[in-house]
Amino acid sequence: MARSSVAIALGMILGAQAAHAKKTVEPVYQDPFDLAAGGASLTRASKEGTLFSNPALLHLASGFIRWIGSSTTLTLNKESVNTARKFLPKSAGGSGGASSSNSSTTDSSTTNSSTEIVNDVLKNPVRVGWGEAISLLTRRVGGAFFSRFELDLGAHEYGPAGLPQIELQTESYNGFALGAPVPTPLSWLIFGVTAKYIMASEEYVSADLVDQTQVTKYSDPKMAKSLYSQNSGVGLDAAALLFFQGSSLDLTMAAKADDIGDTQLSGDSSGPKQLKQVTSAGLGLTLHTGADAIHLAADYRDIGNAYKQPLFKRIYAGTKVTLRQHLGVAAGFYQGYPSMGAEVDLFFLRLALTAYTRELGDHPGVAPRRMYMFSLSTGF
Amino acid sequence: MTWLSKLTGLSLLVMLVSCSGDHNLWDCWSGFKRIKCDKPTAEQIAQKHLNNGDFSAAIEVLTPAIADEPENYARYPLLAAAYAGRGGIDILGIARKQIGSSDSALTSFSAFLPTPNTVDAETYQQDLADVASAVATLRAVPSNILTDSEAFPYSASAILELTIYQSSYSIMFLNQFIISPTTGTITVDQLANMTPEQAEQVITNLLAVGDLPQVSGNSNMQSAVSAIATTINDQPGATTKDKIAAYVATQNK
Repeated sequence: MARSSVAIALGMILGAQAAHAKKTVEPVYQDPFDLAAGGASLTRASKEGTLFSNPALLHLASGFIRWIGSSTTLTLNKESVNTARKFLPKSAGGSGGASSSNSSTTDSSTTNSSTEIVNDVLKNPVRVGWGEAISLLTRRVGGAFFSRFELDLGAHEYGPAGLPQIELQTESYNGFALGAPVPTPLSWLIFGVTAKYIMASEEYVSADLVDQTQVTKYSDPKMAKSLYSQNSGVGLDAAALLFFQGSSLDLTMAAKADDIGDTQLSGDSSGPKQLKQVTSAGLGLTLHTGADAIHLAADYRDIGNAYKQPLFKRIYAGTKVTLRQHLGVAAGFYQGYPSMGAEVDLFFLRLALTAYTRELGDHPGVAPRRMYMFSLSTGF
Repeated sequence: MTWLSKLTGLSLLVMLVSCSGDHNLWDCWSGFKRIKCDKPTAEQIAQKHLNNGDFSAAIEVLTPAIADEPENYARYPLLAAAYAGRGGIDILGIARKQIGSSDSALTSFSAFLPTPNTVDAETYQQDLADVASAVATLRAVPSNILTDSEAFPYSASAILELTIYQSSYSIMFLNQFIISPTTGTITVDQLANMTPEQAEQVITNLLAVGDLPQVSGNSNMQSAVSAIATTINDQPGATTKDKIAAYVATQNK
């Protein structure tokens, strides 16, 4: 049974159909610590996230080099962790009675275990992802290569058509971004621009499990092309930052236009073909001493609602507390769901752990994915 | 209170609230009451109930929604699934089995349906009525809509679903007369309770499966279930009931 389910999953991985746009109002790449703070990054972003959230923030770096290094992230959802934990081999002292069992008992327990795995996969979605960024950020200019990929495998005993359904979604964004702040004669006003070359693909396939022919058609190797293909194009973001600095309290306001004039993507992938222009605004307050700081931030993305997204997907808010510039904790509301995380800066090594929930549906609670993200960065 | 302490307090509050649970602020049932909540559609709520096994709750959501908008046909397959689920059909089991023409449809299907020996007589009749409601719900979709994939995006799935429920109903209807409530075995002894009209109804139900439109995935099932009717008709006997008795005897070997 497990084998047939794996075959179905593989069959589906080979096939691809029309995509549902998933990258809408958010930056194409986000830093884990920014996600922990609810994804509100227009007025305060971390490392390479600055290029994608607001390039004007580069100008606020304390030294000439803000960050040089690489970041690797691994993402997986809570249900995957629970399932893996459930089926990991027990310790020798646990249920290790197999050696004394006869073969029929072993076969039976294997079958039960396989059925349990299938049941678990059918009830709990699996979402895994990874990301990589190599960047050099200075006070004058910044550049980053980035790559991220997420795969989501979900199944329902009752899909939208009332039949058992399996669905696979992938999201892949790779490319290069080059950004620079543009200071003005007014010390409190900074502009910023980011040019980006993006290779992207978003795939969505679904099949009724009852219909073997529907599943089989996805195993046609010719259909694999769409999954491996990516659409590419060049886009431009522009931002403005109003920064009012006090002795212990800073006020920051930001306005940003992503994908000015709509970024057109071309290629063999079914989507996305276009990243729409969205305008966003953010507000931030920072209470700080010389070494410690508390940041509060809120973003209102896609003010004109170009992507026709519900309100809960356009408001991001959260707080970051940084202590001695080496320890940070963050919490917030990402797409209306609580998020939290922590980051430790060990000079040349940064470790971050983030927990957040991403809603794949168009209403709260329709298809939430509770995600854990682990990040390891090397650099300074 | 100074600005600084207010900001610190607010920051701590955000941290505390965000650590307090995993509910969405915009959730209508468990979210923040002072903002306008974002309610999922009736289909989404019903689908959640279905996947939680709460079929009656799904029926309660969908029945008034369909009454309000009878031409929103996307809701009909879900309501049918709710009736079928409440009627005891193990849809996931049927999906896994991939019942085809090479199987004995009678025994293959029965493994995923309530049988007279697994539930009491009253429950069996309720289950049968629910599965009949599932069939009736899908048959309420006009045939020109049901078969038009452009007008009805779930057309192929709905026809496949109808094939499963019509097949299930046909076999459940037959099983009540041929499966012993005590032993669970197929036996001709039970047929004494069957009227000639019910015998005709058995054949009509089985043939109705074959009359459904063909879509990807339902042809094997149609063939398997229709073959039961053909096999019964090919049996020796003066009446349909006699032919069913002869067929049951072959199944019992």
